[in-house]
Amino acid sequence: MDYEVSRKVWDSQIPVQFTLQAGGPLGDPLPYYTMLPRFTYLALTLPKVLSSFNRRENGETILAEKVHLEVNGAPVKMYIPVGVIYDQLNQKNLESEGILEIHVRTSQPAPLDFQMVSVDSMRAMFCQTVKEADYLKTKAEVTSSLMKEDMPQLWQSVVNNNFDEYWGMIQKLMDPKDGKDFLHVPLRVYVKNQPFKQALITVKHPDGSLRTIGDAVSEILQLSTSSEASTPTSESSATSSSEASSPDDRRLISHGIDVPRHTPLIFAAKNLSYPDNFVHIVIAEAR
Amino acid sequence: MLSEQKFREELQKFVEQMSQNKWNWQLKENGKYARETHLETLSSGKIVSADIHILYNSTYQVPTLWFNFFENNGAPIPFEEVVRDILKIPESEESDSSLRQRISHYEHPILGVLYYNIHPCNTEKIMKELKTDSYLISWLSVYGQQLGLRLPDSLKVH
Repeated sequence: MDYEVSRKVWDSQIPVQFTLQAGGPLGDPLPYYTMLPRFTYLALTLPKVLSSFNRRENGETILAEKVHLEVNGAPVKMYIPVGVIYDQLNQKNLESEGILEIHVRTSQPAPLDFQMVSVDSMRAMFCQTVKEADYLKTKAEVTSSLMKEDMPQLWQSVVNNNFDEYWGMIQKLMDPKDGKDFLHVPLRVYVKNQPFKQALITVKHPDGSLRTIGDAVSEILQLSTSSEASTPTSESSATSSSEASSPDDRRLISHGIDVPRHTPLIFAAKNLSYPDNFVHIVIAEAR
Repeated sequence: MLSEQKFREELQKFVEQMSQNKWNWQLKENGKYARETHLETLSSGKIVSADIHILYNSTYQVPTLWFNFFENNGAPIPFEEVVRDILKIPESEESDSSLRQRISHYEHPILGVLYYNIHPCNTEKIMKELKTDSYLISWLSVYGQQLGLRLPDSLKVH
């Protein structure tokens, strides 16, 4: 792992504005502005946002169970890293220049396609994701040898934005002591309006040369289109158009930057992963 | 371990066998997963609908159970209620092997929304200890039981 790169990735932040439509005689409270680390989750941020809104005198207390969150009029996934949400939107339509606008709504009932995620549930998902990543990398050799308190410690480093604690933990997961190569690389690819895609992708090609991130993304998208092709449904044929763009036109976005296609996959895995140990790549159309 | 192709073959056979027994499993997305839904009456008298899916997990290369429970207006039932009233896992069970510790929300790979799944990380180990003709049936006899899923007698593993 490269300390400088990991530190930069950890430190990168995005501007976020939360607005609350409360109605009532007091009107809406002022928006809440904050800079969020890209690696954090809305599930972790929401309690702070609500406690700020709830600081108003005489305002009705707003409970997390009673709100839902929207971006651009659509429900937002509270359990994917904020940086990935930002990169998905940043392609065209952030409402105002570069700021992620999250609308906190109190209308009941909440839309059925929104899912509130508690901090506890977020922690469980995070741990399952780290374990899955380690299964891909080492067949879970590392996580099964980790101390019982290690996993909660990794999660705490995310909750507390504590890089030093994170760095101590993440090296165990990314640079295992036995020095073996990763078997597969934990990589999730986001195509607009579809669930993320992942597949078993090895670090090297069969001929021993290093696989690049461009190769890996193309293979994942190809695998998913070919399995869609064998299962022709109206849904899949309608949504696969964005994958049809030729590979060279695709931009691979992670942490707000265009990741060069020739980046070795293993470099991306070790240095560009989010704390959940997955590399998250958002596919954008060419400018 | 089970290859995806083998999984699909066994899944198709399983659904056929179930429908012969008048059990309501259906193949979805041209065989990518199987789905079963039914209504359950809780001890409080409340009726909830259960939605249960069998999917292939490409990371662990094993089948995985995904499920959710809904109110009759379509709202998903909160986790604590699922654990307490539907799966009836005793609160005292906090050990790592407790079902409580092995269930969490995760993004459903086909629907793209959060469903519960039973963590597949130990499936391979457990399946190694079982010897049988159909991987899927013996897997389901272990994992399905934890959700109260039953199998017709003719399919039971002895």
